[in-house]
Amino acid sequence: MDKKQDDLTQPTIVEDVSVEEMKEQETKLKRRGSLGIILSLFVLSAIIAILSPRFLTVSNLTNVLSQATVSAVISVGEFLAILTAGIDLSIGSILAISIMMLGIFAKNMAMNPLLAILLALAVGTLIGFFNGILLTKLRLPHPFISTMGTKMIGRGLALAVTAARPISGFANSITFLGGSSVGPIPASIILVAIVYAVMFVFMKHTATGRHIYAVGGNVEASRLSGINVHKVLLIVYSLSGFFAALAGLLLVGRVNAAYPLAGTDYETDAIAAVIIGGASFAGGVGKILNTIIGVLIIAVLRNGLNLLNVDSAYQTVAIGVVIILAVYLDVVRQKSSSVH
Amino acid sequence: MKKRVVLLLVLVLVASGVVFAQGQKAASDQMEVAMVLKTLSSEYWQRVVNGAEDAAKELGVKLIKLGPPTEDAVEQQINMVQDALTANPAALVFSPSQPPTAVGVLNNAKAKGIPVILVDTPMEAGFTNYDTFIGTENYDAGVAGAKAMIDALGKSSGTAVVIEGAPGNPTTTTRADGAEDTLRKAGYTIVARQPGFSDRNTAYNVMQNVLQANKSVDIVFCSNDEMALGALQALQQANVKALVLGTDGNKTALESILEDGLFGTAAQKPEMMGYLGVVNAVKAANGEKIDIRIDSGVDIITKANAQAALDALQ
Repeated sequence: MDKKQDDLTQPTIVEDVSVEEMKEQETKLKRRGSLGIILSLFVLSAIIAILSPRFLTVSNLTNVLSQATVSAVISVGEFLAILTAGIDLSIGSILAISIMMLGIFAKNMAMNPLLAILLALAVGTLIGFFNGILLTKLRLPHPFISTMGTKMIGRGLALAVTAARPISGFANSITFLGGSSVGPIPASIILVAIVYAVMFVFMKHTATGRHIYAVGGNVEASRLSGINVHKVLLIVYSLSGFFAALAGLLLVGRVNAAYPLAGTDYETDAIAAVIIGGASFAGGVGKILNTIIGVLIIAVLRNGLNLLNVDSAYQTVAIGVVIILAVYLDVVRQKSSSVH
Repeated sequence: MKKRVVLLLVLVLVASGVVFAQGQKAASDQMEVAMVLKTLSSEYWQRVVNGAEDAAKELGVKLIKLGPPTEDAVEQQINMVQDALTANPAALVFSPSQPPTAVGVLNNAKAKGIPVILVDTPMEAGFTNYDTFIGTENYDAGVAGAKAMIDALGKSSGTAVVIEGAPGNPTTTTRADGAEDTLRKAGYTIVARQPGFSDRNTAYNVMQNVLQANKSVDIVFCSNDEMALGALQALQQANVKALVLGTDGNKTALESILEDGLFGTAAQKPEMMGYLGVVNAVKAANGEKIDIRIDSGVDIITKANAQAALDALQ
């Protein structure tokens, strides 16, 4: 809280005006964005419900939600990276190496389950931190390149640690997050709700959260106003790695196995969810809660097309179309708001 | 104001969807069989689908077929099984991409009383109460393929290379085991056994690397046709004559055999797997007893019978 006040005293007058202006425009953008995307989810659900009698059943809706949980958690990290005008291509691989290490810790080394989970989360966070170091200390030009490198390293290591063999048969103490239910509600859904609630508060009500927006909006201005940009980026990429590992924990619970090909292409889905959720690739604009709607749109689309027995090749086409539409809507929105 | 109208419209739409859905439920009483494969986007799996569709047509059942865009989209495959099960199908025909990941959903299927018919790839420990496994005896396919090449060469010693699929893939690994054991027993030296990840280009690179260390090779066994074609390309570019045999019996492999490229292929019978899959699914759904292991057979195809096999595909 002290920090927050420090920051408030620092900006110059010029920046004050532009920040105010930006904020006003941003809130306008965000409101429209939220409504549009929630509406899209409703319309999509409505269309699928009309076409398939099975969509709107309690069991299927629980199904869709629990299918979306892995993607929901991993997308939080991608959201943060994109918010800083960056990207994290390594999250799918971080997920894989984290869960393979979880398997090694918990099964092969028979560690205490809680310790194994914490260590696996630490593995993910460390690799994320490594991404941050590449970006800030080694000054690699863009995280697209550095995280692509990490992606390959991570995937290779995930295959190497067990010679590509999956590890299965975990104890309940490992799988409870992804595999158990609290009453009728899967624990994974509760975890996602907690993650998003915490991140919502973090982004909105902490200095670090606002700094992430600021760095994404304008790096130079952030630096001049006294924000430690390197620290912010290190936090962002570490968090991205952490959430990838956490998503992995959910996945292990869901399928009760750790396999080295896990998380292949998950970064693509995460980027899609973030963009469909209205975040700007240019950084600085985006809302954490819209990301979950983006995740749900993709999950509902996949589930609906499965129920309708549509070839998965066309499912991929459909998701591609949705991404392009979402970005186009964003362009239209920005145009109309800049006219005002 | 406008927004509220739109929202209201959407709600009405959703509501009408529900009503429509309820009305539809009673409409169909045709038996429904769900089939979830590793992917639908390759020649091999399309052939499984073709066989399954033939059986579905013959028996008058509705076939729901699903499969992710690629074989490594493992979680998506599990999601597809879940989605298929929401329809309460009469039976599930399934081929696991990563067997351990499917234990949970298959147990759910059995708990709902839905028979589980495995095709192509068996489940490992953890799920043993499947109704049947229909597939090639992969070890036998490796043995038969290696034998055919040894017979054709007529030598009791030589050098051989074995290229398998992704490490950990039980299907391709078992085939390679069958071939390696047979070659060793016949007196051949295995100069390399390496993973080609079931991919043509990877196998091409593997073969190129092997040829750096070995000037000549007599026999190359590959756990699928794609890899065999990749290995063949590397051999041809290096001007090394060797017998190359793949597994699967895909169209491209048959064409290569006819053009004196590949020596042969240990053809699985994917159509037969799909066909037997649906036939036995219906049997199990009707409460008939079925065998726990059904062999879908292997054909060794060389130049002598490649044309016939190709005609049968078209």
